[in-house]
Amino acid sequence: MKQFGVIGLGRFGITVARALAKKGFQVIAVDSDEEKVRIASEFATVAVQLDATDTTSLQKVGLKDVDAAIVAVGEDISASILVTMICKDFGIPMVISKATDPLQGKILAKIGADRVVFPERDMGEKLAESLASPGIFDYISVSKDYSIVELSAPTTFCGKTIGEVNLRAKYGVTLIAIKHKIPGIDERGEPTFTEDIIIAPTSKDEIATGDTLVLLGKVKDVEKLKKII
Amino acid sequence: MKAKPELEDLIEVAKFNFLSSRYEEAITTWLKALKLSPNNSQIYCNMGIAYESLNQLDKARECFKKAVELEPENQQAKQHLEKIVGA
Repeated sequence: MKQFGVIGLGRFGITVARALAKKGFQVIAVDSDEEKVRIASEFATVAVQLDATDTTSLQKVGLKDVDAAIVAVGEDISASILVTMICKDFGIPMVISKATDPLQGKILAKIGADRVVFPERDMGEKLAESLASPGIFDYISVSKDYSIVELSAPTTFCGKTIGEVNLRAKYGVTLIAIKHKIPGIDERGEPTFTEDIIIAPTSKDEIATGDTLVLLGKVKDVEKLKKII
Repeated sequence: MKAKPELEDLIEVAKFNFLSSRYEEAITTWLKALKLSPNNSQIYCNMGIAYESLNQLDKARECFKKAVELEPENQQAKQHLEKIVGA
């Protein structure tokens, strides 16, 4: 089973730790604050109060053996740098460090963080994206150029097959899945619906009114498609 | 007493249209039913579900809000409203 280490249990750290534990992974959660550690102890495999910049203490809690470490020590950049370096020295295969601004991000990448995340910036961009386009339900940035979006099927697509719409040739995007709503009646005899997900639909599958399309494509191509919703 | 069966008929026709994925016709029929029963929380909730099925979330949100306003204990409307808030 995969084992994760989460160092720093602020809002971001604790959310990551909780989500990983919920998925059934082993989680070692570390913070210098007693109360935060107590909260984490409710779901983490091991929750320890210690100074994360102390190599010996980190080694003792077994952080050396994790498959990935999430360094979420937050605003204190010097601590963030130090902990990232300690994790790399331990030989942890994947070290993910949290940064609050681009400069911090650059420094953390330079000293060996395998991945740098900007939770505030990413969430802000995601929220702006969803507010700016009412037809967009979700937006995941895959890389600088590529994203996965969930968008309401444009009315001009409804009743047509995937082959007829020809998304890849016309818009340069790949259709990953279609979410299709199936109307029904609940136990009280009132209308309701369930959602059926067709993964990797074929060219013969038809797009229906109210469907949601899950697409992968270059940001600029997705932008073009959004205009016709 | 005459209006009651008519209201029930309209609701049944709307449900039939909804089940046949004819969401717009269902909404039109529910709107007619609302004229006979303007404070019917369940009709607003049903319309919200039909708008949600059409991915018209702004209109769906308005319907669920109205349903909760008329009947604060309407759990179905509350759940749907919670789901689409911010969408």
